[in-house]
Amino acid sequence: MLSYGDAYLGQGEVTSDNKSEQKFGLIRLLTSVPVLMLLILLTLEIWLRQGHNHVDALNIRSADLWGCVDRLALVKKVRPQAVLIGSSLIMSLDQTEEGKNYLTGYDPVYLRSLLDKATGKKISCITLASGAQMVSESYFLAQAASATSHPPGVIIYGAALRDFVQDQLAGEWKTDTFNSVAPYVPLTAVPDIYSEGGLIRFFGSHFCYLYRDRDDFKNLFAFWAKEALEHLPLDQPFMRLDADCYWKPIKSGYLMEEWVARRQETVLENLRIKNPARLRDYFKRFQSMFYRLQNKETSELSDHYFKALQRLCKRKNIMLVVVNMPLSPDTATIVPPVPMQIFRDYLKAGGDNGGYYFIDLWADPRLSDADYKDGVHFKMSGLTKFTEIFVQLLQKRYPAVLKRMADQSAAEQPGASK
Amino acid sequence: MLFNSFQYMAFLPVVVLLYWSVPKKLRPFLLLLASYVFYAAWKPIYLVLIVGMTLLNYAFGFLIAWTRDKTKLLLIAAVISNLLILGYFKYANFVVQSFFRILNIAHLPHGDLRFDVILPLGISFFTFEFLHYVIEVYKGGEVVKDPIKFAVFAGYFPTQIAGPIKRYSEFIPQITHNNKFDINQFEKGFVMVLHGLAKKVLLADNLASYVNMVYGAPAAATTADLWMATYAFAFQVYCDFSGYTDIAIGSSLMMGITVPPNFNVPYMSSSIRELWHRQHISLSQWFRDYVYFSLGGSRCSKLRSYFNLMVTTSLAGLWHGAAWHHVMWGFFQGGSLLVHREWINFYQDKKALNDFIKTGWWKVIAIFITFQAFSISYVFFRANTNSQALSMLGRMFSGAETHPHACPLFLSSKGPLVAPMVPFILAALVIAHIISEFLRDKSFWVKTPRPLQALYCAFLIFMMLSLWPETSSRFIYFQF
Repeated sequence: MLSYGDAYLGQGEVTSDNKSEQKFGLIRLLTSVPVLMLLILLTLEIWLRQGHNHVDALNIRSADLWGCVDRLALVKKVRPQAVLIGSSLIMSLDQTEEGKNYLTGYDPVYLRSLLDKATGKKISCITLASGAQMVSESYFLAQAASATSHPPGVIIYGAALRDFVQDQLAGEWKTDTFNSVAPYVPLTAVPDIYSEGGLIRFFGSHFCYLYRDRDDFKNLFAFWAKEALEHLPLDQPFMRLDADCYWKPIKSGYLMEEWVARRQETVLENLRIKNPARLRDYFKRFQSMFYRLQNKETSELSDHYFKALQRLCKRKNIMLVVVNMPLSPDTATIVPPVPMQIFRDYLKAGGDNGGYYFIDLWADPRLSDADYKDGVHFKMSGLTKFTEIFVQLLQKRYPAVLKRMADQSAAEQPGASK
Repeated sequence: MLFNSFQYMAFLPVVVLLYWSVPKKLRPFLLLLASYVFYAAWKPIYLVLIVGMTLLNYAFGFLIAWTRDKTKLLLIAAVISNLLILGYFKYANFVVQSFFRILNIAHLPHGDLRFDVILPLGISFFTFEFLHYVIEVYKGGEVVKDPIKFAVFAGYFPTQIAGPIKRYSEFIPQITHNNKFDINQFEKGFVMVLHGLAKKVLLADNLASYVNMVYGAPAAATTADLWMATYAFAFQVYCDFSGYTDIAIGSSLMMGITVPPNFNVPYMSSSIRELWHRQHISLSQWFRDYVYFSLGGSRCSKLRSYFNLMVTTSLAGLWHGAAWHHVMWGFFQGGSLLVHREWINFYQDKKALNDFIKTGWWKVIAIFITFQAFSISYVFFRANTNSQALSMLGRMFSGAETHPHACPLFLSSKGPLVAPMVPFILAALVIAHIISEFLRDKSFWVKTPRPLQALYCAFLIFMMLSLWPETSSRFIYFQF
């Protein structure tokens, strides 16, 4: 007779007599612990798949921090002629005249209206941009958006040097949208996944929401723990963001776990009204961090995904328009000129080689410091100028892009032949 | 292959499924193949080592059985061969560096010599199993004739890397008899695997982040931190190693095979002697049977038996790591056992004291003292050197830093989030230990309804998915 196990599970005994040879039936098998456990996990999985972002509702950072899932659903439903991808630079085109929704919107109203005018058709356009979006994210979002029988005719990619070089977000899985978007990315994208870490996590997130949403619960636990531990005589409080956008050890303000997009928008907008100089300083410092360290591997990874994006668009017959997004002249001074020139040449070469339609609006003299909220994101005046310049350049240089949108729009109209 | 890796999570179900699917005669082959794949996943070249040692000891087994009535020479040869291989891989650098240190003290010139040897995973464990085999065969035990079964005994993947150290007379019949699938055993094994993984991932790895912070820069830690980290390390080792053992035992049970127990709520022991009967049980028994008894055990003069004890525990310490601070740790264990024996001798003829010692009150005090002594011994185990350990112990016991100017690191919000939680985790573990002590003979888990067991398992998986560290650390005992 052999005993086994640690007492946490209750000391058990296994006999070598015929007890171990007891027969078991199907019912016993179906009600065994592993099967029941799988049923419980399956129930949880189904619950998580219902589309409710419960953690986000608690104002905690979730896997779907930027609401990409809803926006992808909208893309499937609306079947837009154009989709915008990129970072918050292009996301700010969604803002309303009151300056709202520049980090939470999905509808670039003014761009849409100009495209309507330029094409003479009703053009629908949805933004799939997200904060600090890296090239890998843009690629996965483009994959997800085009995984339909009616992919968008045009993808407008608002590219910036930061998207290609920010080392902290170099691994695909370290980005904000990787987990949330993975279930919507078709498995045909697998060969394009660059790193082994990314591949493993992609499979995890693609098939299992319990895995996809793991950081939601981690953030929730961390938030609860920090709130509770603040009652201890800690050496200093946990780091929080104060109203002036300074991260400091204080008991009031937002923990990183609470820094959700709508809060970012509200806090930054309030700061813009109260202390615009501080806001510009915040973004200037923030931007300057990205260019301090530049890892070759990050650039290689970005290049890999940028090329994969181009291949995807070719395969799906999508016209890819790449816009080198501008920063305010003041903020642009912190961007190192040599890497920026290399970046511009790199984008231009890609355009010249027929990979995409390229528009370089970096350092465009028509955009001034006054056109930006914070040196990075457009104000309404900047949005207007940028959009007009962009659409004019499309009309002038790439009318085929507008024609594609117009044709697709016409085909989508009721009564149009399919 | 690490137990806490995605590789193993895919490997185990495949092996278990194949094990129950293939014809019974093929099961030993399958186990051997799986075990060698498991080992080769780390460094394929070291497969040569385990296969070579298996062949060597298989041959020694026959030769020893053949000549055991006439000569002891083959046993000595077998023991020396195994120890030389273990010694080369594990202690070559230690011996050379210690020798150079002596030369330094004597101001004698010497060159520099280092063996760039990678310690093969699990070598200590399978070497001890080989030694056990050849010694038992010499004592009259049956020789394992089937080379496949012998190879499975040594290479068996669940216990290959960090035990429990098996006894061949218990293990071989299990792979010979071909048990039928038993759903109860399978379930128990499944739960144990999950439970062990949770101990490692949720508890050991999180405690490790605080322990590493304190032991990484002890000068920056306060007295309270040194104590807290010492207790945290005691529980980290327990959760890490007993977690590993749970996975090993559970993986085996899923295939209807039992391996020896290794833990039995050790920190509820009321003496250091009892503790070593409840912690790393298979190693304690191995040292008792093949070192302590070989030296003469306690059937000799008191002084000699104490000497035997100190030698055995110091060797056990050295087995844990080729460094003097590990020897010191073993020496400390030996010293504690001597003190315990002397204590028994002291109170035996004092009736009032004897009566008090039989009470529950004394048991509580004894458990407390035993745990304190054992935790303190871990300072030598975890510190990088003896001098660092002594310096830390000096600070722990000096009253000077009782009221440090600096806030303790476990009250730091700058370090890992787990740091301020450490006292709570430790308290929870103490409570868990107390509850387990009361439940351990009551077959609590077996009586728990299956839906509740399933809920518990689902909860563990959910928690592990959420809190699995980005970088998994190796099991502590893998390096031994």
